Amino acid sequence: MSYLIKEKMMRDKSVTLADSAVAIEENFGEKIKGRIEESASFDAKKEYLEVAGYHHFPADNVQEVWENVFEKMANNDKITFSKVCSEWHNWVSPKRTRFLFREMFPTLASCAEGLSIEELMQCRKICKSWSQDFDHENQTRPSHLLLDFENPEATQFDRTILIVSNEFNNAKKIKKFLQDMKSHQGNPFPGRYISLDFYKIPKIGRRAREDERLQLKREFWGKALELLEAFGSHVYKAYIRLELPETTEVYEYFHKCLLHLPNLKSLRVNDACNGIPLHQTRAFYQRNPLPQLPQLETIDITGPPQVFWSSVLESVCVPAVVKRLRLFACGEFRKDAPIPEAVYNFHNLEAIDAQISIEELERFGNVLGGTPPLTAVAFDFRNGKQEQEQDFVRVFKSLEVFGGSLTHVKIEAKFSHYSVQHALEIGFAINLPKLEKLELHGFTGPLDPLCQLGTLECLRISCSWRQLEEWQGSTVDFYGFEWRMEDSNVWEKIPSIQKIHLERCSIRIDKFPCEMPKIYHRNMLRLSSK
Amino acid sequence: MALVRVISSDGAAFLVSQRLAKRSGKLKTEIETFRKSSDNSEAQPEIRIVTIRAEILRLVLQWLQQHQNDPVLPANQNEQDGRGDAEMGQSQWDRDFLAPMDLGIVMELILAANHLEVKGLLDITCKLVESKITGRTVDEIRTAFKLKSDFKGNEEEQTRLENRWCVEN
Repeated sequence: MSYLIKEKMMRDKSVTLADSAVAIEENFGEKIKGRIEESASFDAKKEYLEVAGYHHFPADNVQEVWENVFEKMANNDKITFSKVCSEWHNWVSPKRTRFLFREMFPTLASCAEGLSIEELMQCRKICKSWSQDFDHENQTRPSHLLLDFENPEATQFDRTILIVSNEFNNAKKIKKFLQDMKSHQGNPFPGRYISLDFYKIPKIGRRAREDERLQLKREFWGKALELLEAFGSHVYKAYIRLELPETTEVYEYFHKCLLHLPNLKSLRVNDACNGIPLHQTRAFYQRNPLPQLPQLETIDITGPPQVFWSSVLESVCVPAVVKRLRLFACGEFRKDAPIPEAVYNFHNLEAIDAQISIEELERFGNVLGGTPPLTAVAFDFRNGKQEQEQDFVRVFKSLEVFGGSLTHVKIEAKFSHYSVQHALEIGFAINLPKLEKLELHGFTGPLDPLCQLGTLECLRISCSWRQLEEWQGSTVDFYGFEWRMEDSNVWEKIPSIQKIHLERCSIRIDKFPCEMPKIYHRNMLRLSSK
Repeated sequence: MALVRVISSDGAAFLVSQRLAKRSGKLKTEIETFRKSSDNSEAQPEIRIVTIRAEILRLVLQWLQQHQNDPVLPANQNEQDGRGDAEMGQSQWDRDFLAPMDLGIVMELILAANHLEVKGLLDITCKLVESKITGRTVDEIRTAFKLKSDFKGNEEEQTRLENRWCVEN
C-alpha cells in the first residue's frame, strides 16, 4: 500500500527528500521512505510524491507540519520547496527574503556595482542563513580555482568572483588574529583563502637593520605556523611567498606550512629566495620531501625552475588530481626553464600557463596515459635568450591534438612574417574546432590564417607599432583601422567574432617584464550585438 | 500579429506578442528554437517557464510592455561609456512600478529577470536591493528585509570579527 502526498515536486529540481524525511521522522517518530514519481509531461497538479509503506499520514496538508519540515531544510531545498506550488509558496513567502538570498546573491554581487566589498560582507552579519550563503558562494565558485589568464579581468577583490581573503604580512598581525580567534569555533576565514607574505616591517622610527629584518621574518614564519596549526585545515586556497636570504631555513617553514594545509585545493607559491645555491635547495628537498596534498587541483609556482618546480610538483601533487598549472621563472631563470618531467604525468590537466619550447609542446601532446583534456593554454615561447622566431604552422599543428577540448589559446611568440605568409600560401587551416578565444602576443599578421576559425568569438592581439605595419597586404583590412575598427571587414571575414581587443606596445615586447611597456588599448564589439 | 504562449510554473498562460517576448533573451532563444524545429511556420510557440510563478511572470511582462520601445541595452553597456545601465534606464514609471513591492517580490523579480535575460529590469531591481544595503546599519537592513537575527551565543561576535579581519586587508 502506499500513500500519496499530492502535487508537490518540481520537474527540474527535486527537493532532497532526506531532509524532509528526517524532519517528518523527528516530528512523528516514524520511518518514512520517499520516492518521486515524475510524470512524462510536467504538470504541477499531476505530480506526486509517493511515500511507501504507510496507509495513512494524517498531517499531509497541515501547514504547520510542512513549515516545520521547511525550517529543517537546507537553503537550496527551501528554494525548491517554495516553488512547488502556490499553496506552499504562500506558506513560506514571509521567509523568502531569508532563503532567496542564496540564489539572488551572485546576481546581486555582479550587477549592483554600487555595493562595495565591505557592504557585501555586511550581509554576513544579518542572519546565519545569509552568512552561510555568502560563505558558500564565496568558497565554492569554480572560478576560484582558475589561473589568472583564464580570468583576465578579475582581480583579487573583484566582486564578480567574490574572493575575500585573509592576508597576513607580519607577525604582529597574526598574533592579534590568534588572540581574537582564541574562542572561535570552526572556520575563521570566510573565503577559506589566506595569504602569507611578509612585507610589512613595523615602524621603529628608523630603517630596520638587516639582522632586525631577518629576526622579524623568522618571527613571522613562527607565527604563521601557529596560525596554520590552529586553523590550517579550513583553508582551501593559499598564497605563500617565501623569502629569507641565503638559507634553506625558509624551506623548512614551507614544509611545515604544507603539513598544516591538508585540504588545500589551490596553492600559489613564490620562491623569492634567490640567493640560495641550487645544490643546497636540491639537497634540502631530497632530505625533506614536501607532503602530498591530495585535493590540490590548481598549482601556481614562481621561482627557480631547475630545482624548486620539480621538488614541489613531484612531492605535493597527485598527478591525476591536478587540473591547472602555472609555472613562471623570472629574470635570469627564464633562460633555462624546461617543463619538469612530473608535468608529463598530469594527464587530467585542463589549463596550463608556462614557458615552453615547440619540442616540449609536441611531447606534451603524446604523454603516457592519454592526451590531457586541455581547455585553456597560455604558452610563452620566449625564453629570455635571443628570441627565436616560431613557425606558425608547427605551433598550431602541435595544438591540434588538444582540438577536441581547447577553447582558449594564448600564445606569446615571435612568429616570422614569412611563416604566417607561408601558412597562407599553402592554405594551412588551423584545426581547433572549439576555439572561442585567441590571444596572440607579438603576432606579425596577416590575419588571414585566422579567418577559418568558425567558432572564434574573442580575438586579443598585442604587438608593437612596427609589427602592426607588417600586417599590410592582408585581405583583412586591419592595419589602419585600429581606431575605427567598426569599418574593418574583419567582422565579415571572421563571422563568429564578437569582440576584438587590440593592445599596441610602444616598445619591443621582448624587454618585458624588465621594462613596463606603454600599452594602448582598443576594445571593439560587433556592432550588431549592441 | 504573431503571438507566443508563455506559461508560468503554476500553470497560468500569458498570450503576448512575439515582438514583446523577444525582448527577453531567454524567450527569444526559445522562440527561435521552436521555429527551427516546427514544420508549421504559422504555429504558435508555447514556452513553459518552470521556475517563475504567475505573479512574477506577470510583473516581468508588464515591465517589458512598458519598455517595449526602449533600445535594447547591450550586455556590457558600462564598458562602452561608463554609465550604469540602471542610471540610464530608470524612469518615474519604474520607480512607481517598484515602489509598492515587498523586497521578497523584488528578490523573486531579480531571479526572474536574470533567468529570462531582461537586463533593464535586472538592473533596476538590483539597484533597489543595493539601496536597501548601501550605507545602512545591520539593524536597518534587517528591518528592510524583515529579518531577525538568529545568531546564537557568540556567533554574531565571531562573524563581526571574521568580517573585520577580511576588510582590514
